[in-house]
Amino acid sequence: MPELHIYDVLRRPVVTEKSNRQAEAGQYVFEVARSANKIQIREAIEVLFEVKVAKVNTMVMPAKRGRRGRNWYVRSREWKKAIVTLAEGKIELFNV
Amino acid sequence: MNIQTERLDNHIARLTVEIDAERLEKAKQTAARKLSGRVNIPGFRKGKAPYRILVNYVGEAAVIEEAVEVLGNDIYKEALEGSKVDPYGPGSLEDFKLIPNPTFIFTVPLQPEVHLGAYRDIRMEFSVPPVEDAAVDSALKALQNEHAVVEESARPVEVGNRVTVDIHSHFVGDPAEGQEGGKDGEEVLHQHDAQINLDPSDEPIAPGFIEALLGTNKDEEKEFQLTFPDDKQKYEEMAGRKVEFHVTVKKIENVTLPALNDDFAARITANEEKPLTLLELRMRTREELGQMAESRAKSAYAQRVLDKIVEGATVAFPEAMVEDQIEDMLEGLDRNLRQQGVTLKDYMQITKKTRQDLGKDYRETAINMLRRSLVLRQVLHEEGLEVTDTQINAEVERMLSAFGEQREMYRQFLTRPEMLSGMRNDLLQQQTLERIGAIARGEAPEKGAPVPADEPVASLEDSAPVVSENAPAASE
Repeated sequence: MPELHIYDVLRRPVVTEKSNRQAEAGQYVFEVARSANKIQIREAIEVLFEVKVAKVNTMVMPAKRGRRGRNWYVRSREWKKAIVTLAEGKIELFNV
Repeated sequence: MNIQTERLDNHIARLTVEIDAERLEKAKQTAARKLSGRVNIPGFRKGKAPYRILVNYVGEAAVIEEAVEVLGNDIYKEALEGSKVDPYGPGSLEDFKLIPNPTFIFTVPLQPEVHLGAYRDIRMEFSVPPVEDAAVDSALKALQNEHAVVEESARPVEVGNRVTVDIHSHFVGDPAEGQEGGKDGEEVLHQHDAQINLDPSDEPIAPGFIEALLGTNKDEEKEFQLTFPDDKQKYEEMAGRKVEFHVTVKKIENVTLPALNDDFAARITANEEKPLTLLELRMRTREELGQMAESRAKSAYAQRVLDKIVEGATVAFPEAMVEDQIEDMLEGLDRNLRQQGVTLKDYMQITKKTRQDLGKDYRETAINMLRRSLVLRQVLHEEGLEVTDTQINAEVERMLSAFGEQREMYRQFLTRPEMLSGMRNDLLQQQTLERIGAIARGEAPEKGAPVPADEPVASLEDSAPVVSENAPAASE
């Protein structure tokens, strides 16, 4: 398996009411590559945003499924969410 | 806050209001909160998105726009108070500038200003036309007609009959070159069940019409051609044209006029205290006609004087007032049309005019009416005329006296506040018109002199219906 480049680790910032509240406490939420691990995420954040990361929590958000009659279909794919707690610094991307 | 007031042409003021940046900032926050309640931002419930995210999402301009709207009303109010202009109607926000300081520019239509000029020096000749004998005669004739004995006749049409006919008619031949009017075959008169008195002294429709109908039986149709005399005033577009008539006689009636004598006079005044003789009836009719002529002359005179005053006055008013006036007039037109079962919309379709076109048509009249009513109001003001409650009560009683039995029911209707205030306005207008007349005849009391308490009411009662008929329809 080819190595995951740091630019491929982070997919998008998650901007919601909840993530917004977490950002105020220095926790930033991203969608990350399904195959990225915590070490790769830490490295990517530190390099791209020039901040110091204290810890990374990850989780796989389950796909949302719907059903039409007997058939199941995927409403939204499963994705990996990372909550990055910074030791110092700020990520301007979130505008807070 | 820094307010500058400029007066523009058209009686409009421009207010330039500069406010602190801080205030705008605050307003933007409020505006953002309002906006976020309306805008759906993914990831956030309505009203929960923070300021920065909202700005990113909808853009700064939208927020400022909202903020200007939020602030506008308050600022406008403060600016009006601060600048002491007297607005006629709602102002409008003309422009908003952010740089260098947040600045609102409002335009405000101003209250009209009227300078009457030397209206108290106006003198005009006043005369009441004398009552002609012919007028008395025709009034009596009308009375005769009213009390005529009508019976159906089995004989063919004779002179003096009253006939009920269906008339169809059309032009024969095109109009002469350069003349307007209907073409060959175009319909002229089309009427069903028209009642016509075949009175040779007052020829109906066109000369020769009676003659053509003579001898026709009931339910018989008659065709004939008549040429209208070349009299544009009387016959308008029919003048000098040949017209073919198809007339079906549906009913023939003998009309027997009662003889003009003392008996007749006594009969029609039978339910009065003392029945009159013919001579007395004649005298009374003459007197009534005289009164009518006088009050008509008076009101026409007052209108003439008002014209003169308007001529000498300088009146300034904002465009918005003209628009309002036009709007009022169109509403009135709509009401009139509705009584005939047409709405303004239909009317516009029929005449192929838009509201703007109509507005343009009415514009000049509207301006004239506006000037008159403004001048009238100013005269009212300067003369210090007032209507007392006693006068209004008297007017109410006068109107009620016509109702008899149901008067208590109508009293409730008439004493509603809006009716009373309308009545007050009418009375004021009448008084003002009378005063104007008095001024021009040189009979007016000194300015500021108290109005004699009972005199105006008495004179109002005689002339009220006529004056209000001819008074300009303009009201406040």
